[in-house]
Amino acid sequence: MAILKTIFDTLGLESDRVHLEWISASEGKKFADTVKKITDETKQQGPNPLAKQWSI
Amino acid sequence: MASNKWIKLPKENRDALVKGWLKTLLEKGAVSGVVVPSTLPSGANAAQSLITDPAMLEDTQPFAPVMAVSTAKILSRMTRLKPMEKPVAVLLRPCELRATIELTKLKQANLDNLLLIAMDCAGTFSVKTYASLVQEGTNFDEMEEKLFGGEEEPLLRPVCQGCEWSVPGGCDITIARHGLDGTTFGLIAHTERGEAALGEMEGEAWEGGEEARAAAVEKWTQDKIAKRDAQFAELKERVTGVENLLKTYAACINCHNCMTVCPICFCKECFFDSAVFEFESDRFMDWSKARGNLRLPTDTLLFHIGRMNHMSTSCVACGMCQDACPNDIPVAQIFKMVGFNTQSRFDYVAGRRLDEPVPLAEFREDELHEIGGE
Amino acid sequence: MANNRVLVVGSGVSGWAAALNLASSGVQVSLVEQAPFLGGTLTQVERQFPTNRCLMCTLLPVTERVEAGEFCLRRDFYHPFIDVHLLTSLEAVEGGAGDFTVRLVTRPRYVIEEACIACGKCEAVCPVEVPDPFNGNLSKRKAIYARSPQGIPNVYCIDEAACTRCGKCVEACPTEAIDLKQAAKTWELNVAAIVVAAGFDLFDPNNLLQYGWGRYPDVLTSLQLERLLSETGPTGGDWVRQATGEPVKKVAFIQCVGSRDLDHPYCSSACCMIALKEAMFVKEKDPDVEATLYYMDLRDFGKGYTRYREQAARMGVKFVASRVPDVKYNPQTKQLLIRHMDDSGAVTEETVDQVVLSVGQAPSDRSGTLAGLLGLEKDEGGYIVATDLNTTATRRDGVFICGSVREPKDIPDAICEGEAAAAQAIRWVEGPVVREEKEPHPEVTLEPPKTGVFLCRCGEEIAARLDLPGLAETLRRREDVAFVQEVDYLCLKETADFLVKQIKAAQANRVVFAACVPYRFERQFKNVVKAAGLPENFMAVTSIREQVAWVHEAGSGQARRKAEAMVAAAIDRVAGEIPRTHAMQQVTGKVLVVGGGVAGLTASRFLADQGVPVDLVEIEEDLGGNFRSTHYLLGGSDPQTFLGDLIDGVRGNENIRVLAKTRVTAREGSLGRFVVTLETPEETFKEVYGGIILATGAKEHEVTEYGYGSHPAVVTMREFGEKLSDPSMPPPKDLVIIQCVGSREGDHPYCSRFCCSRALAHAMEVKQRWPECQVSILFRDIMTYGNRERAYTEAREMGIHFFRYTQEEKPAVETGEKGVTVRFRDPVLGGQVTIMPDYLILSNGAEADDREDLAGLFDLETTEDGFFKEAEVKFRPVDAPEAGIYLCGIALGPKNVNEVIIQAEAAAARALTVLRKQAITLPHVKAWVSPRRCSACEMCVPACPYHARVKDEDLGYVVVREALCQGCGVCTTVCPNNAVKLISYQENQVFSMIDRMALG
Repeated sequence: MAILKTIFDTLGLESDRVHLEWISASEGKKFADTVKKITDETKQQGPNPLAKQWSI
Repeated sequence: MASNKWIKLPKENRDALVKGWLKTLLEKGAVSGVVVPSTLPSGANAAQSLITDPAMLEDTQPFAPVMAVSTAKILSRMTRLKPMEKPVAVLLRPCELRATIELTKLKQANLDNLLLIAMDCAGTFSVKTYASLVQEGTNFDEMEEKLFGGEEEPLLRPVCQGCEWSVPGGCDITIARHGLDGTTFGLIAHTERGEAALGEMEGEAWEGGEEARAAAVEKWTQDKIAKRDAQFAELKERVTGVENLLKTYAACINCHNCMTVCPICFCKECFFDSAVFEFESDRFMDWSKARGNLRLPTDTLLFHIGRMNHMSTSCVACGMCQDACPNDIPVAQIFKMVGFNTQSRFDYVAGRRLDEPVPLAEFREDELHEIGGE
Repeated sequence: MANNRVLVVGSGVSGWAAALNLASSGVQVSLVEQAPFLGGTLTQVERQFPTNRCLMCTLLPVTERVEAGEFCLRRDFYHPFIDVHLLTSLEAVEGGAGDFTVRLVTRPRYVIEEACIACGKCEAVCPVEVPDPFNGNLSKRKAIYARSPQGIPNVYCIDEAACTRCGKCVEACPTEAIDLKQAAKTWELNVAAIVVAAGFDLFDPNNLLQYGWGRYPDVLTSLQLERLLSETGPTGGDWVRQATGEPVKKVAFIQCVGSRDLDHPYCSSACCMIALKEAMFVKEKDPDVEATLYYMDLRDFGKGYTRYREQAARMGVKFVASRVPDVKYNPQTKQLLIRHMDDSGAVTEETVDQVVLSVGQAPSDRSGTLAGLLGLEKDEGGYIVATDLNTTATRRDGVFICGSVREPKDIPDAICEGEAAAAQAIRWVEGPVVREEKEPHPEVTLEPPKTGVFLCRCGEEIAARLDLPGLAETLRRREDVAFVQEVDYLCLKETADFLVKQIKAAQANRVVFAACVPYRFERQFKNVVKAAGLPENFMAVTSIREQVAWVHEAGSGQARRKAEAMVAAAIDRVAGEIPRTHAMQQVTGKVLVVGGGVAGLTASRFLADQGVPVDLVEIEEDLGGNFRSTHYLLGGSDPQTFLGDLIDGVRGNENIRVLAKTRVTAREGSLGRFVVTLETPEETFKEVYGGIILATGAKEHEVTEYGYGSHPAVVTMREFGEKLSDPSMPPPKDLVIIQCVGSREGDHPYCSRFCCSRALAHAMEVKQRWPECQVSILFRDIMTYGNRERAYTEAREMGIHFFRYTQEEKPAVETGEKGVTVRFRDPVLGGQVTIMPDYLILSNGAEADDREDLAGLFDLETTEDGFFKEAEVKFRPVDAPEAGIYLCGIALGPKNVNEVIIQAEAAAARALTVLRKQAITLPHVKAWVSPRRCSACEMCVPACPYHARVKDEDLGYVVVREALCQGCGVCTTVCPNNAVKLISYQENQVFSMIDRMALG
């Protein structure tokens, strides 16, 4: 994960679209909060520019 | 086991002296073979060869500034299944040495019985460029002197122009140029094995070599780091960001040559060539429908990023991939920039030391909390 | 009659450990729990010290794991050999060991477990609200309630006392699961042995009016704070001032509430650490919070606990050695006022926002009842008494006790006792070792996947909110779908036959169940799939109730799209399944015990008594280890008689071969078949063992401080013990003992645990023999945890003087011709005290032996302090990381001899789970290596946290040691070439699932 994020940063891709969070089965609230956070952040970021590209 | 013998000899006779020395080692049985570049029939290329007949050393070119294939890849091929039974001398450039050490850590090569002789390197040419320079009758010794003197040579392979690793580390013997004035070259034994081999060579003791060399190397490295950073900055401008990346890799034809020649890509069968990337027809239709169009074959950019993900922590920036690219994509430069960053992340330099574990081969419960949280 | 069943009373952590260990040993278990849910107190506590993690699942069996549920132990639990009986208590016992008849009473739940779908409709209509004890009464629940989301089982039950029998819930229940006419049921059971693990009650602070609990909103118990900090707690983890809702800026933890006083003559053992943990958690929430612990002695005696305390101190947690007499309330600011007195008597007042009472463990009413009906003795604190030297045996044959019914204790000790009690109970068990027969997997055709999909309507729970017919229509368009079938309730047992018929009729070879969260019904669905002739993993459960119907707008397109994507992903996933295989490993029924100290001797004798052949290897000539120099113990047992009996018992046992002056020099193989090379003075040979117990002990800390070596009157505690055991010792007039010599500081940041008890034993012996002798003990914190506290009280009553010193101001020692002079500050009177004792006795602790050799051979790691690391410090205290290897004694960390004995029995118990069987089923293969792809770079070998990978030199590639693989998947991430396959998570499965979700 650290490697992937570094690659994305180096290549000018949005590494903050990749997330890793360790959440145990007992941490329901943390899971919900994390998903909410990621969803909000992603909404802020807007659609993934690569998703529109056919030539990847 | 460490040793520290320093001698110097006349530079103009370097080729003959080194060949003669290797010949003696072979004749006396100190080594049972020598891996060294030999001139190929065209005369315009030199490739690594394994010499067991001392007479064949005549046709070698130990210092030809060309790397047809990375010696690391050759050594991996030769020693992976079974280490050398008797000593074999190998002549390498620093990047080849680092790749060899990296492959050894990845259990793809075995250093047993290898007498590693590596040289200070000012850079090499691609096979194509080298051939035309030979045609033009270039004096490579003179050119090398100019390079060591700090002159630029635009024909050098681009990774060599920004290579800060001009000095080999972890070998038995260094064939040195840094720290000398160009009239002589040095031979330094770092190990007992190296010192024994060097016993066959007579030369003047190189007094004060250590300091002079350290200073010269420092200056050279700083210059190269500056060049490297300039290259990184230029690359960042040209290739990063979604659009630039797609432009850069637009020329990729999915030939996977870059992977084939990479000394570090040791997998028997590349994941990207495997059945995982065989799909049923509806899958292609689904993908295409999602965007209205689908580049074929698929996953061009994914291949390159995937290779970076798998291999960049071990990249030694030898540049073989870029030489192999039929469409001149600066793959090696991009890979080097990525590798520099991923390796820095783990305070790691690929091939620097044998006793440094590769970053992924360690299980640590507590690390990188900034990525995964507590 | 051969009886192969054991009754375990109590499903808390020690009962759970006992039950699991018995079941893993092939014994039938009846586990009875008086509460409506499993798990005991532990279910209310989410993270443990010193890991600050949950890790409860590590309690699950590692071998034969297929036989137990593989869920989070907070969600579900089952084992084929454990019958769980909730709301059940033991009422009467007849007969004797090997053949008890027990009478049990099961009180009504009023909810039929099998029929409840946990939809919550009953709860919504229930008019009765009561405080919820699960959350320390900080929240309310209804009279009908479930302990969602973390109750086992995840079904409702009715609180008998609160329920008004209004019947609203009966009307609301869609599955007729509620039966208000249920009555208590009395039944009998025949068992060979009984394990009592009835746990403890938390001390009720209502009994201590001076702290104002129940009157002042911000006076909480430690459990209440635990719940407030929990994400599943009453506030979802928001922690604020209860009185005002404002942030807490200052919190005080008051220790020893309901412990270590006249009525409670014991230390509750775990509260210091719980308070430390909670203080760290509040610091995590807000680093600016001022958190202070007011304590009498900070008892960080467990493994890694001193480091944990230091970690807390680094986070800014403050410590004040003082007992807080009372708490006052300021009605204006709604803050609390506490007073504390330092040793000199100076009083300081502090205003704080919240006070946390570290309430102790108290003996439960149940344990009193149980003691009565089982005829067991209780001590003055109300705890049940075990036989001498504190094993789990009681005076009644066939009845064993473990956990906090004996003495307050922390999780790892409770687990060791549970396991030890289990192994004791096995002695009375007769009959065959039960095991689940593994049928060979059905032939799976190579035909393309054809998946049958069942869509559960869950009554109207799903059907009313999600367009199931539309969903079915879309799914039917897929060529690889054999059928799509809506079902009213997939979970009802009656539907099972129908499901099987449907699968067979449509010749489906994969099945997807779109229903609710899988915890409860997955195994039921597995049985359906098996009955239909398919491998049990050829199915998937996807939760369209919790993740779709209950969270998206009813009938919305969003719900429909998500359901479609989820079911499609599940279909793709099962399409990629391959049959799981279960390898068998033959077991060599012989064990190797390394180390001939008390731990090794106990484990050897224990196993030999159960008929297991034992090789006991000792590096020295003689058996007995460090314990040979122990002459006095608290409680009056004679250590040397005990040790002599133990050694005789071992030497005289025909199942034990003692190999003295022997080393272990190599080992190959794994669980069930370890091939070990032993080097005796005469020969070197190889031997095969099914399991290995390492009990290699530790050494005495070498003293360099306090003038040791410069004067004969400065002696170590061991040396003094030797002198004391010599009847001709001249009477001393004055003795000074310094505690914590080389412990809990500097290079030894751990408590050696036994030194305080040993010092007290010696001091009390001196006082008994020579009452006029002055004995002064200079200490930092006295570690008389549990019932040891009584000895501390007794010592003070005998006139032994105790002076606290601090790390900053240690006693000063001078030696010279005139003798030894000790100077220290008397914290109570404030003055400097000078004593010239006959002996200055240095209480030195234990130090780890350098056992790199064994660590290397058995893939062990050591802690920062050099002791062996167990698989998990809380829940697997005697397992080595590698299955089949067990650890016990002070090689794991310093401890008292009774704990060594318990640990040794626990290690033996763990070994028995393997050794009782001729063969064990290995966990289903989780990861495998494609030989074609593997380049043998061996990156996965060090990366694997379970030591489950090794390069096979003959094959030339890396192979998986199936017994050890836990399927965590680290290997797949480090393998550069996807040569590693993780079954059920192969890349084609994962990729197509991602595609379905992303493109869906």
